[in-house]
Amino acid sequence: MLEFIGYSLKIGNKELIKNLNIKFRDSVISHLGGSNGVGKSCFAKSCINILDYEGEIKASSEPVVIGSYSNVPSDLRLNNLYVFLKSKYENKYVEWLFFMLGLDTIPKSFRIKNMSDGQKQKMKLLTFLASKPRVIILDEFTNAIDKKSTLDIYDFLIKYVEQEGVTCVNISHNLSDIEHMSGRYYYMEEKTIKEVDSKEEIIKTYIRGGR
Amino acid sequence: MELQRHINSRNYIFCFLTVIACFAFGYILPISLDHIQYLTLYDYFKSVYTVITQFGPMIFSIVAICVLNIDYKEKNILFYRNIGYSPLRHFLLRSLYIWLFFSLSLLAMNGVACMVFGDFSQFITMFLYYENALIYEVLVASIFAYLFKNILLAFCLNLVVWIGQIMIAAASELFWFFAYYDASSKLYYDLEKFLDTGNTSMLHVLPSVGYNLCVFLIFIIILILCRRRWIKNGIY
Repeated sequence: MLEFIGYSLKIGNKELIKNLNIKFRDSVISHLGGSNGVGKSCFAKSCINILDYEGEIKASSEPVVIGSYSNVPSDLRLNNLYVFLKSKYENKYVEWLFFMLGLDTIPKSFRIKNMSDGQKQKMKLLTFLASKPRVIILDEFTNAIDKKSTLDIYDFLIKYVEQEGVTCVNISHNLSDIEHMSGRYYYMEEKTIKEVDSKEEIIKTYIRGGR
Repeated sequence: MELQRHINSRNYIFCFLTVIACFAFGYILPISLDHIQYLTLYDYFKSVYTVITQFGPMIFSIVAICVLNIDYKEKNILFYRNIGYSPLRHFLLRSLYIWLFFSLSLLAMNGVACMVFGDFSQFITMFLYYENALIYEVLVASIFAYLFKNILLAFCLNLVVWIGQIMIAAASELFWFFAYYDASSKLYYDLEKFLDTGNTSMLHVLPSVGYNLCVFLIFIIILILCRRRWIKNGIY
């Protein structure tokens, strides 16, 4: 569960969100869209207390944000990270994630810096989901990765969110995310976040550049 | 995991090369600049110590800053936060391994120097002197690496502070501790006297350890006071 009560976010003199009251549900992917510069990434960062906000954020656990600013050290090898995560978190669960993400097809001695962008995104999912967070925020997660990896990640997220019953907010410009992963749809504009009735409605909103 | 990162990145090679450079300069400088025909072991020790204290803030700091800064550059800080690391733990672990590689290199090169001259009588004493100077220089560089995401800025500020410390110490004897390891300091002067006369009362190993502990405490305080900087540097 991720709920915002009287939530306001301001960066410098610019008010991004004012008095937001919204609740994102469990076991469903909540897609959050909005035009460039509206403050979606700042919204994500405020959820993990990197940016100050007013009001209240209620979450069933400390949210994790997975985006372009949450990378895994590239000088590690796959095996280094895998062994570390298994020793730190629940061994069987990390193994399950590892196989679900298709990481068993990558040689274990492979360095993370030599992996494709899609493989690196999967490594991020393995790392950040190993701690079994109840609230996950994906920030432009499928940007600039190949189609096959994107489809693998879609399949994984759909199964994962439903099976684990987590709250997942997917901040994305990528209409393909909306097309492949059904869920609930939200649009951020005019200092608020509003739920959009359907997938078709949010796609139209994107194409129009706003409501 | 941290050790594996350092080994995979081959940071130990850079550490070893910088120490070799110090020992090489320690030999070349007196021969080329002072035109000394024959260098004794004790002259060599003094020369290496001079290089470590006078050039160390440039040579060691660039390696330390680059290694510590990589997590800001690659935006790995949220990874560390997610696995439960605090800024203190993250930087202490990263600094610890750099210090370890530098120390092992110093130990090895000091051993080689003593072996070449066939005299190990001052092996431990000189290792401790080199080590204390190294620890200080890595600690100061680490503070700047932690505070500033820009490597060039961190390096330049490190140099400015180093030069500033020498100037302050030169301005008044009351501020001698600002440039504790500099060639103009009492520590350096007493080391020369010890190497010339063998008078062990000229040795100040423990006070140097105490001095480094004070710098370390300042490092910890800065880390704690500026802990939000760790996240901000790692995300933006």
